[in-house]
Amino acid sequence: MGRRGLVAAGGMTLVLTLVGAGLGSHRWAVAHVEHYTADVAWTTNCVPCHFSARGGTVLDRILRPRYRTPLEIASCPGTGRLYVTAQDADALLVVDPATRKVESEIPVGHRPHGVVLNRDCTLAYVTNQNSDSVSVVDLHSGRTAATLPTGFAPAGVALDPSGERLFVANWFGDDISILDPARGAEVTRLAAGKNPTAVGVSPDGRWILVSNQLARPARRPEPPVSEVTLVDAVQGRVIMRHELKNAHLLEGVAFAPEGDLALVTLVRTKNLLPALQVERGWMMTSGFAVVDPLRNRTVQLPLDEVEQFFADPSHVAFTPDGRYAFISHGGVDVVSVVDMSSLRRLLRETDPGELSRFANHLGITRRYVRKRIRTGANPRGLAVSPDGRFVYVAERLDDRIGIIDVERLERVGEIDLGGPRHITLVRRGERVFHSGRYTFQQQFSCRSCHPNSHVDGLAYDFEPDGLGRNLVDNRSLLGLRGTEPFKWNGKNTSLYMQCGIRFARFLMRTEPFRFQDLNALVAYISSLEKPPNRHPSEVTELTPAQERGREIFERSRTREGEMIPVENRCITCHPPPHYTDRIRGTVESASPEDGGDGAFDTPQLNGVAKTAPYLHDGKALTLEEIWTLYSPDDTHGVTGDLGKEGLNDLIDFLKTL
Amino acid sequence: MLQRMKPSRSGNPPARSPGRFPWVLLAAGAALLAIPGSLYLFSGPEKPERFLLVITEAGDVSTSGDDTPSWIAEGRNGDKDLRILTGEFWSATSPSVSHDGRRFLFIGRRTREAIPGIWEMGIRKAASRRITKGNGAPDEPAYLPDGRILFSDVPPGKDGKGNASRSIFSCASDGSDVRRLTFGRHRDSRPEVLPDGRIRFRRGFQTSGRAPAALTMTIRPDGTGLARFLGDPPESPHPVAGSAMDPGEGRKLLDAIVVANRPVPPVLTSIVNKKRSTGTLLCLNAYESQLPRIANLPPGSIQRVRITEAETPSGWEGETTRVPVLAEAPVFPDGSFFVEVPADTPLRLTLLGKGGRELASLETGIWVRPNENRGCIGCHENPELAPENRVPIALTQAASGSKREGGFRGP
Repeated sequence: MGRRGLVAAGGMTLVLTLVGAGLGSHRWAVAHVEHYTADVAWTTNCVPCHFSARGGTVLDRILRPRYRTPLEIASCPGTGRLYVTAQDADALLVVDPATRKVESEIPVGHRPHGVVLNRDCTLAYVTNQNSDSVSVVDLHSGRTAATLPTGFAPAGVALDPSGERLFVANWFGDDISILDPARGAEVTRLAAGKNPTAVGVSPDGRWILVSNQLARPARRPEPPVSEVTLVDAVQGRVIMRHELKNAHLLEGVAFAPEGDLALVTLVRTKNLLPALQVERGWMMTSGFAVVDPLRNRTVQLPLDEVEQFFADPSHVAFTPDGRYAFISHGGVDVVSVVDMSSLRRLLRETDPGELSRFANHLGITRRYVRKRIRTGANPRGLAVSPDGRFVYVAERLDDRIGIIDVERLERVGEIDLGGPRHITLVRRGERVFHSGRYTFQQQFSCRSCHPNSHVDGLAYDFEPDGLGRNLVDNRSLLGLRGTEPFKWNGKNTSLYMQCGIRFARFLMRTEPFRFQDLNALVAYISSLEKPPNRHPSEVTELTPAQERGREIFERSRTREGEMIPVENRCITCHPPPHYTDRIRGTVESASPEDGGDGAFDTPQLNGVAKTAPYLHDGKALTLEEIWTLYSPDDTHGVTGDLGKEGLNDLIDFLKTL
Repeated sequence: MLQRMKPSRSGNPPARSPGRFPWVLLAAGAALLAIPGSLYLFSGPEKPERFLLVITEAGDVSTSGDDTPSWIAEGRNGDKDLRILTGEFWSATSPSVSHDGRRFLFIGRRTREAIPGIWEMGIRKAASRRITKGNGAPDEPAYLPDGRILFSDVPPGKDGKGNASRSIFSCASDGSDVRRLTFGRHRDSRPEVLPDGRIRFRRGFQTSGRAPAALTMTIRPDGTGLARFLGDPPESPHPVAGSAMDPGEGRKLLDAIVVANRPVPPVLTSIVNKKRSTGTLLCLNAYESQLPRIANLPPGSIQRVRITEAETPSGWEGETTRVPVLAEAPVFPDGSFFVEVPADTPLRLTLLGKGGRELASLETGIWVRPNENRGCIGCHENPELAPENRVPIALTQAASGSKREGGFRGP
């Protein structure tokens, strides 16, 4: 073979090798994508999943835009100025609705949530959810004059008309702080329901109503019950706990100007039914409760209609004349207008027995909902102008304030809050997460089951593994990255699979996410950090009890000195940093209704203090019950030798994770 | 803003003068920009609205349509000339435009003697292809969002014999893989796809006496989830353009539809599994009913439910006939029952009291598809009700049908 022949043969070999490698790598990439998505390979490009979904695109990382994310609004009666909490900017925005401009941006604590003004609008009180504090903002100087400590993760806030008492709902603390702003001290703390969220004050300042977002943990077949807490503002004590059966996600609360009733937004869950369809509100319906605060009378009414659904109601505001109540629906970008005279007539003319049936009557809604007004993305906080002519709505994921004309009941304008124009992949995913348009008839969003990206505290019965069997507890999305596989049987190897085609078939009941939306959703969920731990954490020293609990968690011998088998030590299945070994195991927790081999994905323990109920089907209502009720023979670690104090120490330590 | 240059230290004029602002050039540029702008602002719609017209010869028109020649033509607002698209056909009716506005389906016959079938044709390039090749009587074709084709036709077998039954079907875009979506001896017609992805159709009833009023029903595209449609009629995907169009001298306008792009509805996922031959029926509370004879039953009086095939071609409530029992299940004190039933079979439910005494018999008109778990709130309950959140006792007891084995398979 001559030189030319050698060159030709070598060239041919090289070409064939490259083609073969190309074909082989393509086949491998297709198989790889299909393995991690359980779907056809939409793409074999590595970048979307392995780069963009882990922190954003190149442009996202260069620009690092900081959005405003307006949540709640307070309107000054004297000047009409708006004060808006900007969650992602850690700021209070001062907005002039006349010029439709942001006048100033005042730094406050981390993740501001609620805002309330004193009577002459010289001070604003802003709750900082991740700083556990209230910023007292001097509106003349535009600076934070003082910072008041609160309970864990303060959310809603209200001020009594005298300005002497500040009421703060501590979302993570399950309690209500009553603060004396003059002294800068907490007067008392009252027990609330689960995850208190919003605070409403009666027009005469006598009564405070607190909505509690989640239902108290309940063991099937007991229905979930949520609480609206009524506080006597003068005496500073709880005088009534209104119970709303089969309702949760109680968020917005407001008194009518007449003071005789209050409205509380809610979602009626259907978690006790098998999730075999979505039609006709079989999964959940959105509505509100009419609360007669002093007579312990509540009536639940729907906001959905038979063929139209309005997901995620979250805030409510009345016009000063009491003619209308406006309710924002974050999942469908709509504000509902409730005609209060029609509602009052319905309440007056219907006997109580019939009224109680209206909670599930989707045909009744048209008797009091006057109009649905389209808004920007994820409408949340509402405020009414002092003259009652306009309603302002925080279009949270558009960084805008929408302006609604009350007379025309139309959105007539907007105020740009100056957020970045560049929309990152994570931000797009946040919009997907909060939007109901990916479920059949827009009946719910990801947020409907994962409020605040966390848990709703309920267990569900999904269809494909048999009705009435294999219940699954909802799991938090906070700090999820690095804890795959997902799903209680550990079969979903990635978030792409978890939120993929089976999710659409058995939950969304419409078409699966398109790849661009799914990739953005994965990027958003992956970006969620675990919340700051309110119990002493790694940055502070453990208390003696927690230190004893840590030793129990890491121990290899019982108190009698017997060796604990490796597979039955806490630390074996729950190693740091996420406190999961990410493999399936059995702790004999399966119920008679469960199929399969009784092995479950080992859950991560980060933030475990706030993810009740526990175990795969949510049957353990507290951490204690995991061992006292469901591990009598030391099948879930060895705890039989600990006694009550030892178990308390262990639980004290777990709460620090 | 223009910035003046500072004079030099020597006092001499600067080396380069800013010169005069080119106002002339600016004005010329603005004028050039204004031309397309004004064209945009003051012009009417870019394209005249287009229609598909079904026309026939003026004169007597057969009510059945079988003996009447007809054509489909394209017309535009303000344009008197029509473009006949189906000139090679003896008759062409029931046009339905694709979501992208480029193609349309119609029922066509090339000759008077030919069997009508579903045809598809491009609107610009009028090449046609036949889709259905069977001997049925397909009608009212429409595009499904996944590319399949929806139509009504005479059902096969006993459902279609000796009566005027029609059912809803779908087939692949080449006419293969025909799937029946509605069951029973009804007159199911006018299928259309709703913006939420479901199929809406009209259900007429056949009785020997006075027929109940027709109902508007919905199903999912796989035939599951039969329900009454209770919402406002949404905008029709094929709004009739009205009589504004002039079909021309010697012609008569039978129908007109707009040709335009429309949003593609979502492709709803399906749980139908053809390997299975049954589905299940879960009723939450049999006492929940709008029928007084059921609603007034004392609690605990319903002991069992018997499922038979709905044989009688009657309305919602017909007489019971002696037909084989498909399934029977206990009704629990909360009114719940859970029963496995044969798929694709119209069902009659008979509520039984103590000693097997018949309390009520319901021609439900419902069916389950293979692998469908159908949930009902009650027996002829108010269709505007959402279910109450309560664990049905029937699910906590041993199910009357067979249970599938296996572990967690949720989403």
